[in-house]
Amino acid sequence: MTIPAVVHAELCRLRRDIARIEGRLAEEDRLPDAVFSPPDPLVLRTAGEPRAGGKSRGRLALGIAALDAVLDGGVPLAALTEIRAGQSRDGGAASGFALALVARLMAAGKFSALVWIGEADLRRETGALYAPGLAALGLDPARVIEVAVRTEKEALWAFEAALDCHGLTMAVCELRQASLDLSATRRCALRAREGGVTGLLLRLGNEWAEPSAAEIRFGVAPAPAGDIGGFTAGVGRMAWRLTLEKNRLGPTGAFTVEWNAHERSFVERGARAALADPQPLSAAPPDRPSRPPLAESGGGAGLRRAS
Amino acid sequence: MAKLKSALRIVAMDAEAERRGIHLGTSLADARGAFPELVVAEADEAVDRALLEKLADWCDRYTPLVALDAPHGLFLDISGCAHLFSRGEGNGEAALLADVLQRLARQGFAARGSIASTAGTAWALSHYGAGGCIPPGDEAEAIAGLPIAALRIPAAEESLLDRLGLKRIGQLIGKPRAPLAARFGVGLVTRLDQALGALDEVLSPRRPAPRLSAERRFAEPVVDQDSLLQTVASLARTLVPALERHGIGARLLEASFYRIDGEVARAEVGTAAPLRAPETVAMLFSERLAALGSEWEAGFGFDMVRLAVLRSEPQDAAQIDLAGKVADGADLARLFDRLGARLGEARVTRFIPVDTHIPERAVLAEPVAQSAALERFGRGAEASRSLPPPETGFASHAGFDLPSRGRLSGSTSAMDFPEAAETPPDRPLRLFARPEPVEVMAEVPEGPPLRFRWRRVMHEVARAEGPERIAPEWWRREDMDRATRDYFRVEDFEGRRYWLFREGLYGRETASPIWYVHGLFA
Repeated sequence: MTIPAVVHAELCRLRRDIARIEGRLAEEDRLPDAVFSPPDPLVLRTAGEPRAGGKSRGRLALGIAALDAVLDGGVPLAALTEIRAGQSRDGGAASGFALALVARLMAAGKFSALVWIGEADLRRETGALYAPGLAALGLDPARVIEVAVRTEKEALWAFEAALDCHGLTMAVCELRQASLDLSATRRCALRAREGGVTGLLLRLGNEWAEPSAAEIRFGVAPAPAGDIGGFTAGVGRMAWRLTLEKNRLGPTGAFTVEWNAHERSFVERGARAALADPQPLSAAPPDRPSRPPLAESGGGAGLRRAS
Repeated sequence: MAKLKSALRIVAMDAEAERRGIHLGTSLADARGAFPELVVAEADEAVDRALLEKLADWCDRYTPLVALDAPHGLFLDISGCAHLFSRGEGNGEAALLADVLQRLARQGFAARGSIASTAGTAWALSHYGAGGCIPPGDEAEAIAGLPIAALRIPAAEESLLDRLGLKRIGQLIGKPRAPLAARFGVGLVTRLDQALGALDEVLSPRRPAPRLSAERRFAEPVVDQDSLLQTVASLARTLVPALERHGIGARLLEASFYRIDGEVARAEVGTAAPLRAPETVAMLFSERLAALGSEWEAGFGFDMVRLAVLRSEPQDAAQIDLAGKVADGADLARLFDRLGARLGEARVTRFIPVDTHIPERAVLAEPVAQSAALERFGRGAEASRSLPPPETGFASHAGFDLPSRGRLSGSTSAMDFPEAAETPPDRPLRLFARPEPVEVMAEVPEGPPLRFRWRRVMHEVARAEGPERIAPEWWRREDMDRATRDYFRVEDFEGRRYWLFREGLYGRETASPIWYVHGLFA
């Protein structure tokens, strides 16, 4: 059953109103297991019925309750997800987040290979993938196949070919300052669904988000590294400021997450870490608090409708 | 015409010039004096060579074993090929020779040829004799009347023999061999034996002989690419029984398209796993031809297509389940083949660890089509919840250290991973192929950077960790005068993390070390 986004958001609002009147949390209605089940870090939930012809469509839980709740269980598998970095010098951060998702899926088992498609020019700009660094992030470099392309057109062709391959688990297409038309991304999204491959479209240097057929879109910016075991002097856990810019299901929001490479899990930056930050980097948007709303206020005050 | 012995001399000419009495080696001034209307052109060895190579390509239609005999000869090893040209009588050799010469003449070449049991005999006959086919056993008789030069011996030896009055090969044949060898060296005797068919000569073919090949000739030239691809598919189909009989699959395939004007277009396709399926072969070649794009020129059409298996590997009979689904591994291999065929094999790579401390040397990119063990991907699909999977053996036995091997035990409880065991990543996610120099303000002599300017932007360092000292590999020649590097992991106030290094130690190695950005962390 599919509900148009507008109707869905309206429904959410009504449910929230009823919940407030009844004095309980609205999300209990909609997301019974994702939020309130014991937090197993690696849950692959199946959302909805499997499509005919495709693999069963699961979701990759990120391990952050608030974010998973907003995403209805996590990042959709067998679908297209867009990851955007405003500046191409944030290529390290954006690819880090994408690869952290890969590492998490790899740790969940059933991972055949990742195909990483990138333009040769981009390698000069942001550097080439470095296998020891991948290993340090917690994924197995032996399962990564790099495809170097010359042009955007070739990149999209290769991305489509990869998404169409049933034996593949994940494909990442990295583009720089590309302007893609909607039909190109729609084709990719379709292929991902049919082929059962999780597609990540990594776009660097796109200051403004463009419409695309991706299910969700993350804006990624670097965040000061997190501490490891109370050791605050060094450069610790990698961390990112994520902005959920687009979500088919409705709610969006902003989060600051850290990556624990040992457990292959995301950790939300807690109050302690926030204090340890040398200085606030920028004023948080008033309607998108970096602290998730569900944890404390409970009313979903920070959730906005998807644009 | 070319410059020889400090004068411009004639090095090649046509039959008309020869008839009028010009010799090879005549100086240009003399030739011009005799025939003012002489048309000359500068000799260009490279162009001649290229033409010869093209002819050799063209000759591939007779046999896969073609060897160059520069500057203007070709050896064709036609063992086992001649009968294909026989038209009822004889063993086809004469018909083959006639076909070669006729086709060459039609292309405007003056050519002579001969067929004999050894290359030496054939060479002598085609260069100094009447050509034609010499049946085995008749070699001595056929070459006895030819001049000594037909033995392919150095000019010095030839003139020496000439002065001794030995002008014909026949005069040498009966002579005692020991004095000959003593006087002129073993070379002469060897050449003589080769010319007589007593000693086999090994030709080195230009192109490796394919393991298997199939070809089809067309009655009319074909221009249409689709028809050519269909032909490739049907050739692939004819190869399948042979591949199955030998229990092999193709790893490297080559399709050669012979254009009627003598050009040969070749397309190679490598595969990541042994391959037999004709449809896949045709698909890969269609990708390859699509990638050629404008380089593909049909001209007046092609009159022959050959499909050859250049490299093969054992392939077990595959079991396909009832639903007709192929295994995931095979599916992946097809994807890599397809990408490689379209983009170029070298562009689809995987990481191979190298045992070294120098960061940029620690990984090699190996084309997937050339790597041996790809089926591990297929198996990996079934291996669940083990990281790294034991059978990849990649991360564990060499190079890449994955954090938290404890995952292997299969436990998922967070208690097994105490916080203290966690370490920050020590290697960047992205590495620049060549480190980019930066202006750095740092504590002297060994302190971490305080701020640095990279790509015209100033970055203030908020936190830094280091140094990690990496010394050059002095046992390598190219590292002899390299300096020690001190690597720092730094983070600026915006949260971007960089891998910087200072090349050279203050005072000991250099007075003003240079800083570089080598990589970006996540």
